[in-house]
Amino acid sequence: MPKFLILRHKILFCVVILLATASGVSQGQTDTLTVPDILGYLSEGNEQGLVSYADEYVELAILEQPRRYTNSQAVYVLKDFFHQYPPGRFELHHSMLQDMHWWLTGNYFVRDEHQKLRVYLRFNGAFPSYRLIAVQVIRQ
Amino acid sequence: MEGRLKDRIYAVFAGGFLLMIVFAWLGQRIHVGLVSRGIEVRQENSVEATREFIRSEFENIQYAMKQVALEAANVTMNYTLPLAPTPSPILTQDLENIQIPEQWSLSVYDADRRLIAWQGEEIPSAHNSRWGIARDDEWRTALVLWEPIVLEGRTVGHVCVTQNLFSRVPVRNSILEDYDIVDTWRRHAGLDIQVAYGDTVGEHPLHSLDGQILGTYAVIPSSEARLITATAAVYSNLMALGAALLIMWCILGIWRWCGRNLNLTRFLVLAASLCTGRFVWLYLDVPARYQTGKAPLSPLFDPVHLASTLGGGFLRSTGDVLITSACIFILGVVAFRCVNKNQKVPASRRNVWMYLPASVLAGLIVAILLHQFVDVIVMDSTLRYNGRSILVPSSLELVVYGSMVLLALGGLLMVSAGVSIGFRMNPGRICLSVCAGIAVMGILFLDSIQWCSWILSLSFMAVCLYISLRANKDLYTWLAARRAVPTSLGICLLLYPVYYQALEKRKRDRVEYAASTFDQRGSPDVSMAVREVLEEAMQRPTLHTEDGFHLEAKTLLSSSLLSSLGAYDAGIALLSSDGEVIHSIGSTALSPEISTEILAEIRTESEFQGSKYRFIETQRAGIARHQHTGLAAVGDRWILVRAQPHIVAAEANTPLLRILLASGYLDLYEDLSLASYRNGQLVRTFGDRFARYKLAPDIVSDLAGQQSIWRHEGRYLTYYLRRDTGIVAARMTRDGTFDHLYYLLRLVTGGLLLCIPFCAVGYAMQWRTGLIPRARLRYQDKVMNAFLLLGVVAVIPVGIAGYSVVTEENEKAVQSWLRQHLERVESTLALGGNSITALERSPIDSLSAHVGLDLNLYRGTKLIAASRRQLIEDRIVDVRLPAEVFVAIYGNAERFTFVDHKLGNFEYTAGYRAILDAKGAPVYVLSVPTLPEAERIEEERARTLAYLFGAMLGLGILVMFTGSVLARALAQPIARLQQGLEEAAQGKFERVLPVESRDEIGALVKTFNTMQGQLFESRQKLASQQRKLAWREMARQIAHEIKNPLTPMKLSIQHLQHAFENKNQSGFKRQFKRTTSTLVAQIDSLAHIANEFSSFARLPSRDVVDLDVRSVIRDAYVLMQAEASSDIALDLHLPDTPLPVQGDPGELRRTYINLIKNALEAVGDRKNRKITIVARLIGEQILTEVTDNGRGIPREMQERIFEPNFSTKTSGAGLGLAIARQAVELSGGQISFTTEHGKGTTMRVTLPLRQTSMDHSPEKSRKPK
Repeated sequence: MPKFLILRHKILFCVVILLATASGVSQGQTDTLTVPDILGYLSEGNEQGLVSYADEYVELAILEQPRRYTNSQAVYVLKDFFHQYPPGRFELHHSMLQDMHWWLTGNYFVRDEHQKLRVYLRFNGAFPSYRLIAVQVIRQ
Repeated sequence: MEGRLKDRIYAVFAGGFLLMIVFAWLGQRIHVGLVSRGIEVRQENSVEATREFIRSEFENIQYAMKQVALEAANVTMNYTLPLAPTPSPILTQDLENIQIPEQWSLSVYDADRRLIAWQGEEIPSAHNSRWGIARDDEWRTALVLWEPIVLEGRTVGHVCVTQNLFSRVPVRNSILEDYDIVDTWRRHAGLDIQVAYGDTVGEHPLHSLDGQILGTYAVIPSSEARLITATAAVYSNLMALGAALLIMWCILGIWRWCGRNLNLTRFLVLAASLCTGRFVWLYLDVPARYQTGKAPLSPLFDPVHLASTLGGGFLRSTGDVLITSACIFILGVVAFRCVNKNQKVPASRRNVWMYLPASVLAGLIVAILLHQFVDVIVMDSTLRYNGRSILVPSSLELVVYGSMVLLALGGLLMVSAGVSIGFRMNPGRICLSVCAGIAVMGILFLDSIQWCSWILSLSFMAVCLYISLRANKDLYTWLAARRAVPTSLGICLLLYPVYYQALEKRKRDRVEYAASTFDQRGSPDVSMAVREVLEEAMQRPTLHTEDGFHLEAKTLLSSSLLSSLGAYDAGIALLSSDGEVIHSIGSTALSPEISTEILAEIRTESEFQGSKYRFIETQRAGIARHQHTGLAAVGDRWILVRAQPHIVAAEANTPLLRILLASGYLDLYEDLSLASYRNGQLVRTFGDRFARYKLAPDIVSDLAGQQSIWRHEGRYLTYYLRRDTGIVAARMTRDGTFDHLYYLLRLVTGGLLLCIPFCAVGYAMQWRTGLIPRARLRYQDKVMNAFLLLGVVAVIPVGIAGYSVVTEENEKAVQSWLRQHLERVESTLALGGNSITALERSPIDSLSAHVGLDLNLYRGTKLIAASRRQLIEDRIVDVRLPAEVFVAIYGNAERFTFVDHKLGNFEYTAGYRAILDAKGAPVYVLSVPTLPEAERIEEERARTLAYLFGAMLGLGILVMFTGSVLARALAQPIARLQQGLEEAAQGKFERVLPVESRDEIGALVKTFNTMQGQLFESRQKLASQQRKLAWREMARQIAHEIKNPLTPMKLSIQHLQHAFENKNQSGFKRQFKRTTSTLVAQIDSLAHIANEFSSFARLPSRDVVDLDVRSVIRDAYVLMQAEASSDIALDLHLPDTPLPVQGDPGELRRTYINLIKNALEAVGDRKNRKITIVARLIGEQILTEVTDNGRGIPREMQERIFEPNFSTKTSGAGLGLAIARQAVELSGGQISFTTEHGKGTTMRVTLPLRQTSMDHSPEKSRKPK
C-alpha cells in the first residue's frame, strides 16, 4: 500500500474540512457605546473598533455620495480612508440628540498635514445601546 | 547539466530579489536623509515645475482653441460675405466636419454677434474682449475666444470657441460627475492647485495669448512630512516588490521540488508555503499598494466595490478575491495531481457503492463552503449583479464571476483528492461524483427557482454520475477547449443555485431597507444639517448684517453637511421682523408670502417662545418633497435655513429625471413599488404595482403577530412591515425564467472568459509534457474537432448577425415610439384648429400633462418652453437646438429627426418634430427628450439579447454533444477494424468482426474477415511445419545431448579394460574408482537431460483446481526471496481482493518461479537491482507483471525466447520459458513481454478470471486434459 494512504492522512483531511467550515463562522460585537471609545477609534484610525458598534449595514459617505455597506465591507472602506488620510487627532465639535438619533460631529485632523475634515457620525437606538448607522466625512 | 543550469538561474534570481530589498532599504535611508536636508529647495523646485506645467497647459489649450477658430473662419470664408443675419443650415453642416473635443463648443456669428452656425452645446460666451472667462452662475466657467473674421480689413463676423474649465452637475452619482480642468493638473502635479478665474488678484496670473490676465493660480507645496513620506514610499514600494517576488520565487522553487516527485508530504509543504505567501502578500499590501488613485487596476483593489472580513483579509477587495480563488484553485489542481500520480492501484468497481455516498457527502460540504463564500462575495459588495438592462457584465463583475468559478473548481478538486485518498479511487471519478453532491445541494437550495433550473441541475447530476463510472482522464487533457468549455458551463450551473440564493438575499435586504425608510418623514441627516447651519449662523454676527450676508452665508453653506448632501437644495435667508426676505442665497428661493406664512405659523406657537430656534417639516402641495426648515431669531431679525430634496424618487418617472436621483436612491428604488397604509387604507404610493386601496384582512392579522412578512402575490413578491404609524409594503417582481437565464448567462460569460487562460495553460502544459503535437491522432478526435469548428463557424456569424439585428430593431423601436408620440402631440394640437396657434395659446405644461410626455419647444435655434424646467435649470437640457436637428429640419426639410445625446455615461435618444406653417416652413420644433418607455425598451433589448445568447450557447452545446455522438458513431467501426488488425498481428484470429453497416466500411470489414480466415489457415499450416521442425531439432538435440556423456563413458570403460589387462592391482583399483565415478556422473547427467525433456514433452496429468493466484505468486516470491541476494529489491504488490483462477497450482508456481528466476539472473551484478511483481485485475483478466531493471533481451533474440532449447545463458536446457508458456496457455492465458536493451524487461502473464456465477459457458469451463 502506498505510504500516503494511511489513516492519519484521512484524519488530517477531515480536520482541514472541519477547520474550513468553522472559519466561516463570524461573531458580532454588541458592546455598550461610549463617546471616549469612539473618539479614540477616530484618533487612532481603528476601523474595527468603529464598525464593532455598527449594525449589519452602515451608510458611509467618505468625501463622496453616501452608499450603504455591510459592516464587513465598511471595515475596509474605513481602513482605506484611514490609510489615505492618516489620523492625527479628532476633536469633538458637538453632540446632538433627536428622537432615536444621536449625532456626533467633529474635526478630523490628518497626520502631518494642515488638512481638516468634518466627520459626522449618526447612531440609532436608545442609551446605552446605540448602533452606528452612518458616517459622513466632508472637506472643510 | 541542464538541471544545474536551471538551479543556478533560480539562485541568481533569488539573490537579485534579495539585493533589490537591500538596495531599496539603503536607498530609502540615503534619499530620505537627502530630502530632509534640502526640503525647502525641493518644495520650491516642485512648485516651480508645477507652475511651468500650468502655464504651458493653459497656453496649449489656447493654441488649440485658436487653431479651431481659424479653421472655422476658413470654412466661413467660403461663403458669401458678409453673412446673412439668420442661422445657416449649410454652414452649420460644414462646421460639423471640424473635430472638437468634449467640453468644447464652436459658434459662428455675424458682425452684430447674431448666431449663424454652431457645433456642440451652448457654453457661456458673453465677453467683449478676444480672450475671456465667461460664467453661467455657479454652474459653468468657460474660457472664451472671439476670433474675428476679417474680409478686406473689415470684420464681417466672429468665430467663438469656448471650453468649459469647470462645470457642475446638479447631483453627483454613478452617472454624473463634476468636470474641473484643474483636477487633471492636480493629478499630474501631485500637488494642490487653487485657481481663481476672472478679475482676481494673485501672485501668479493666468495669461491669455495676447497677454490679458484671465485669472490667478496658486500652487500649494507639499508639507515636509508629506514630501518625506512620499520619498520613503517609493522605496517602500520597491522593498515590498522585492519581498513579494522573493516569496513568489520561493513558492516556485517548492513547486519545482514538488513537481519531480509529488506526494502528500510535498503537497502539504506546497500548500503551507502558498498560504504563507498569500499572507505575506496581504501583509505587504501587494499588489494593491501599486494600484491606487487613477492607476488602471485601482478599481480591482478598491474596497468600495467589494470587501469582506471573512478569512482575515483574503477577500478584502475584488482583486484579492481573485488572487485567493486562484491560490485555492492551484492547490486543488496540485492535490488532484498528487493523488492522480500516486494512486497506482485502483480498486475494483465494487467499491462504487462505498465511494458514491462519500463523494456526495463531500459535495455537500463543498456546496456549504461555496455557499458561505459566494454569500459573502455577493453581500459584501456594491456591484450591481442583478441590473437587468445590462447584458454584458462590467469588468469587475466578470472578475467576481471568474473568481467564483475558480473557487468552485479549486474546492471541487481538493475535496475530490481528499475523498480519493480515503477510498483509493480514481480522483476523476470522485470529482464528478462530488459534482453530483453539489448539484443535490443546489436542488435543496432552490426552493423558489423555476422548473428549468431543476431539470438542468438534475440532468447535469445524471451526466456526472454516468461519467464518473467511465471517466479516467489525465488532468491536462481536461484543459483542452472542448472539455474546458463544458466543464466551465457545468461549474457555472453548479454554482448558480448558491449564487442566486445570495442574490435573492441581497435583493430582499434592499427591499426591507427601502420599506423601512419609505415612510420616514424626511431624512434625520437633513434635519441635523439644517440645525447645524442654523446654530453656526446664529454665532456669526456678520451674517446678520446686510453687507456681510452673502459672503458669510455662502461660506457657511459650502462648508456644512448640507452642501455634501448632494440630493438636496439648500438655502439661507435673512428675514426682517415681519418676515420679509432681506437677503437670500441658495436655490430654494423663498417668496415673501411663504416666509411670512411660515413665520406667522411659528410665532403663534407657544413652544417656540422658550427655545432659540424652531424646525418644521412641510410638504409642498402637489409634490412629494419634504422641506426641512429651521428658523432662529437674531436680534430683531430672523435667519431661515431650508433644505428640500433636489428630486425625489416618486417624481423620477423618466430616465432623464432618474439620473438626477442621488446615488443611494438610484439603486434603492430600482424596480420597486412602495405603499404606505394607515388603518388599512392606502395613503401614499410610489410606483405602479399597488392598485389595492385597502389591505387584505389576512395580511393585517398576520402582521398582528409579527413585525414583518414576505408574501408571494401573483407574479410579485411583497414585503409588509408593521410600523408605529401604519404598514409599509414594498413590492418587486418575482424572478422568472428570463431572470434566471439572464443571471446564469452573466455568470457563464465570466466562466467562459476564464476558459481562455485555462486553455492556454492547458495547451502549454500538454505541449511541455509532449502530449501535443500528438504522435498519433484519433480519427474520432479529428471528426469531433471538425464538428466543433463547424459549430463555431455557424454560431459566431449567427450571433453577430442576431446582435446587430436586435440592436438595430431596438433603435428603430425607439425612433418609432418617438415618432408616434410626436405625431400624437401634433394631432392633439390640431384638434384645436391650427397647430401653431394652439401651441402658442396653450402652455407647454398643460400640453405635456395632456399627452403624458415631457416636451421641449424650440423657436428657431432657441428653447422657448419646457415642461421640465428643472432640467433646464440643472443644465441637463441644452437651451440651443442641436446642430444636427437644425440641419435636418431647416436644411434638409425633414419633418422628423432624432439625435443621440450623452449625459455623463448615460446615453439617450431625443426626437424632434417640425411644426410647419401653412407654407410648409418650420416655425417651431417640438421635442420629446426621452421616452418613459426607454428603460422598458432597453430591458426588452437586454432580454432579447439574453435569449439570443442563451440560444447560441445552447446551440454550441448541442453541436458539441452531437459532434461527440456522431464522431463516436463514425469512428467506432474503424476503431473495431483497427483492433481486429492489431489482434490479427498478434496472431489472434478467432474473433470475427461484426458487419454493422452496408457502406464501404461494412465491405471493408467483410474483406478483412475473409482475409483473416485465410491468414489463420496459412498460420496454422506454418505452425504445424514449425512444430515438426522443432521436434526434429529436439530429436537432434537429444541425440547430441545423449552422445556427449556416452563418449566419456566409453573412454572410461576402455581405460578400465586397459588397466584390467595390465594386471596392475593398484592401478586397476584407482582406475576402477575413477571410471565408476565418471559413469555415475554421466548417468546422472543423462537422467537430468531425460527429466528435463520429459517434463517438456510429456502430456502432463494436470490437477486443475479453483485457486487464488495471489497465493501462488506469494509462494514463488517467498521461495525466490530466499535465493535472491540481499541487495536485490524484490517488491511484491498484490491487491486486497482475491484473484480467482482455474489452474494447476504446481504448474503456475513453477511458471512464476521461472519468471522471477530469469529476472534475478537478468539483473546480474548491476547496481540498484530491482524486481517488481505486480498483480491486478483488468476487466475479466488477471494481469501479472514481473519487471526487472536488468540488461534486457537483445532484439535478435526476442522472437525465440519461448522456443524450447533456447537460452541466453551458458547453463540449463533452455526450456524454462517454453514450459512457462505451455503452462500459461493450458490455463487459458497468455504470456508476453516488453523489453528495452540495457534498461530491463517486463514479463506479462494474463490469466482469465474464474467465473463465479452461472456464467459457465462450455468453452470457458473446459478443462485442459
